[in-house]
Amino acid sequence: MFNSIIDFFETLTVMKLLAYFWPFFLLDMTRYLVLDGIVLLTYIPRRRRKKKEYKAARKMLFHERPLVSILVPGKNEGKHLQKLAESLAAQTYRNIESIIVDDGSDDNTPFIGRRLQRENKISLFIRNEIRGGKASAANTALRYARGKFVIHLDADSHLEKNAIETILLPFYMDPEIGAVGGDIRVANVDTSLATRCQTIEYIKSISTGRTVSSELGILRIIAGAHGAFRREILNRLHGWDVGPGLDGDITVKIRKLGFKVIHEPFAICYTNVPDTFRKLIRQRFRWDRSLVRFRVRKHKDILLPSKAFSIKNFLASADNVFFNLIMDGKWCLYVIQILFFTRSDIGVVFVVNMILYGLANIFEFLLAVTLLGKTMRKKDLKIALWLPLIPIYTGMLLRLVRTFAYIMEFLFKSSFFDRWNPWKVSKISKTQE
Amino acid sequence: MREPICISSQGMPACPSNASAAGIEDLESIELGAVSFFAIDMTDWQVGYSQIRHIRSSQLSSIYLKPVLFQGVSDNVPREILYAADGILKTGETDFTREYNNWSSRFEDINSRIDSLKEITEKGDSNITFKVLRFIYTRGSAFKPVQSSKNINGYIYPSLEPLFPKPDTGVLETLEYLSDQKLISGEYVSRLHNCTHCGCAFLNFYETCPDCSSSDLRTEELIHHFKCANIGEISDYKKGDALVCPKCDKVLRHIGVDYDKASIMYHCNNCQNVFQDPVVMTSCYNCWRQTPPENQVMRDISTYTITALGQNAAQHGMDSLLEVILEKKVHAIPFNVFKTFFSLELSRILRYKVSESCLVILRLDAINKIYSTLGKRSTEVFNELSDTFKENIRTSDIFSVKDENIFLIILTETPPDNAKIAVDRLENQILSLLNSNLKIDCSVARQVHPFAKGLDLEEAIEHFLKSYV
Repeated sequence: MFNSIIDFFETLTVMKLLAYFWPFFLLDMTRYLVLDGIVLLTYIPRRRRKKKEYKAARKMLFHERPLVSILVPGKNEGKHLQKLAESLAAQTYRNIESIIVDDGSDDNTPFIGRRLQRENKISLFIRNEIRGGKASAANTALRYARGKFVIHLDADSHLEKNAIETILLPFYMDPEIGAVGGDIRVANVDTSLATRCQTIEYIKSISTGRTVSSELGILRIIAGAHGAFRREILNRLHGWDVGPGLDGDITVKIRKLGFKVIHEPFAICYTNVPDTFRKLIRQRFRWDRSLVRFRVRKHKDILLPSKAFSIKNFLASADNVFFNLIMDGKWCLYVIQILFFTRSDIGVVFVVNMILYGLANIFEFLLAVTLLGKTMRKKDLKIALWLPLIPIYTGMLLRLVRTFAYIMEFLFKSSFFDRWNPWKVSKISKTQE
Repeated sequence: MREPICISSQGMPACPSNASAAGIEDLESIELGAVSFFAIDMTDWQVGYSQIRHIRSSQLSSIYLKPVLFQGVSDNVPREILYAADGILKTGETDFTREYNNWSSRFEDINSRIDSLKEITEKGDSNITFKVLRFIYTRGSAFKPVQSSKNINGYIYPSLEPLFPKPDTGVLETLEYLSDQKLISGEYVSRLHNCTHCGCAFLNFYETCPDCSSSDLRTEELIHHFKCANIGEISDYKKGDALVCPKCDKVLRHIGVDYDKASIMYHCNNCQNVFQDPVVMTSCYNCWRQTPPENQVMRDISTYTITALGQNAAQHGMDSLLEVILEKKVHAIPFNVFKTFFSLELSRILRYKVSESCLVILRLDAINKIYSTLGKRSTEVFNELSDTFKENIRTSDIFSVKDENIFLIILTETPPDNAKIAVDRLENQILSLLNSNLKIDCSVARQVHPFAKGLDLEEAIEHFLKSYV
């Protein structure tokens, strides 16, 4: 194999290189390596220069001390609530109220929630006896939120001590900011190969990826696991719509109102990710369908010319649709090309692709280390040893799941049958679509 | 055949011409063995009820156990009063002789059982617990509770009530005590929440705000509109008679189809707190105290019937609970044995004249009160009382109990001054236990007699009772 690679490269010309590896050089490298690299390498020093602005924002925040409502909807999440409550109690910003909504759990969540409320470790525990789905649970919490700002968290998450303070600062630096996405890091890094792969993926796609999108003004999602909003905006929108993909949906709606949405990489939240590939595939199948359901169907107006057309909103959606959906078709073409035109070199092309994408991942990881610096834990750095596996994880496994999800959603609107929502909610949503 | 006796009283209609009559105060003077029942006229039911209470308060078993028939009963007599008698002859009955004979034969079983009972003491049955046991025994039937708002327990045993000196004085406790002693057995009827402070069963349960304890609360149902995932209180949705979603303006049509009621929220009108878990409190209609429900006392109400053990005790007498405990803990000896020890000690002192011993007579007036107010918990108090005796009595002293509340101690080799010191200490500890710790009103009467020529135990006790009782 080694000799074949040597022979292959000895006969390689620029044209041949592009012909064999055009997806990498023309698309992925340009978008995720060159563009991300340029943006981050300008962002990092600029962020340092903005120290004074952050300091002034912090001063304003602590001078005003607005009430901040932490909303935590969930089902059967009782086992995580104690740790979450402890991480809220340890926050540097203290004027918070925590509202936990139990969406019809059938375990001991109500017992734990009520105990935490009695012990004053949370402000309000609401149990919805009839399960209504994540959006209805989040909206229940929003109904009783009193804070100027609302932070939405997943129950299986916990926060870095300064997370709330840090995620609020952008609101005091720019009044046009309507929502701020917090950074999400993996809590259960070393549990399994699946969690290790996701750790690298989260560092790439959330910590650096969303920072870049935010800098370009095309951030398209504020994660439900860690996102801050002005409450008045959420009230204007009457909260979240039926999911799955409700966090991406509300981000688009906030953008449509003309507010900026940004990512704050130093407001850190740790979350537990699926620890088996089976669970991971099921999660991604749910997430990926939302691209078709929300961006292609519900919010297709963003992509079309209209009076309310906004280039940034267009790019935010188009970037997602192009690189995830349309470029999935590119891979089909590429696979056909390799199978039919370069069959003799198929092994070499595969290995070289792995090397190229592997090197790209190393570069992206280095960018992340440069950006996140001391906020990265030792176990986050050690995870670099698993980087060679990432091309297979993202390039093959996740791509397959994504492709299947798109097909199912396009053909069968399968997201409306997802058990993630109660069947009666899914049924109504589908008929109203 | 036994004959009925009509209880005559002023202002009451005359007895049927062929029936014997007696005044309520004269019952002891008639031949009770020949009486089948007492007939009480209930034209004025309050007078009639006071008469049955008078009969049941007697200490003579041949009087207080005798069946009682109410006659001339009108519709306005309260149910719990009506059931106090063994039988009722309603207004309108004209053939009294036939009715009286019927009732006499029906009461014959009861009267036979009464005849089989012997008087345990010369003075009759003074212990109320024993009277209740004998009453249950002679009736031979189950004693059913009746719901009543007239009694703070919420339930009464109508036929047992007249045995007690005052209403609300320990009928339930006495029955529970007898049940604990396996003398009667209970069959579950109902479970009550009773006030932990006063025992009243009339409690108001209400919800309060966990923050400010106000009971001024408002509840709102949470409505979940499926289509748009909006959740809000029902008042957010109300537009006239319709429910309209404030988020998507759709009219809500069918619960379970396009919307449901996810849960209920409480609003405190006093402090504006919003919550789902109100704190439930109770307030007592009798003592007005507010108490969390979990601190209230749960009490089972039962229908009682006598056991074989109870039948035996009713016929031959029952040991008092206190005596049993004292016998176990302080080695109290029977009074007859005590008398022998008394004679021996007196002879020894008089013969050798080298040392002194003393007889201590002590009376507690709270024993019956403890029984009637504490019921089951009497055992705990008596155990503590016995511990107090045990701490103050030496193993060489001789101890006995007479009639439940007279305590006799021979303090051997103890001069009168030392005996007084010992009795003072004992009295203080008893008062401290009952008055201070348990809040039971109690007084202690005592006498110390040095062993000397002419000291007679029976006389000393008689003299003591005359002086203090």
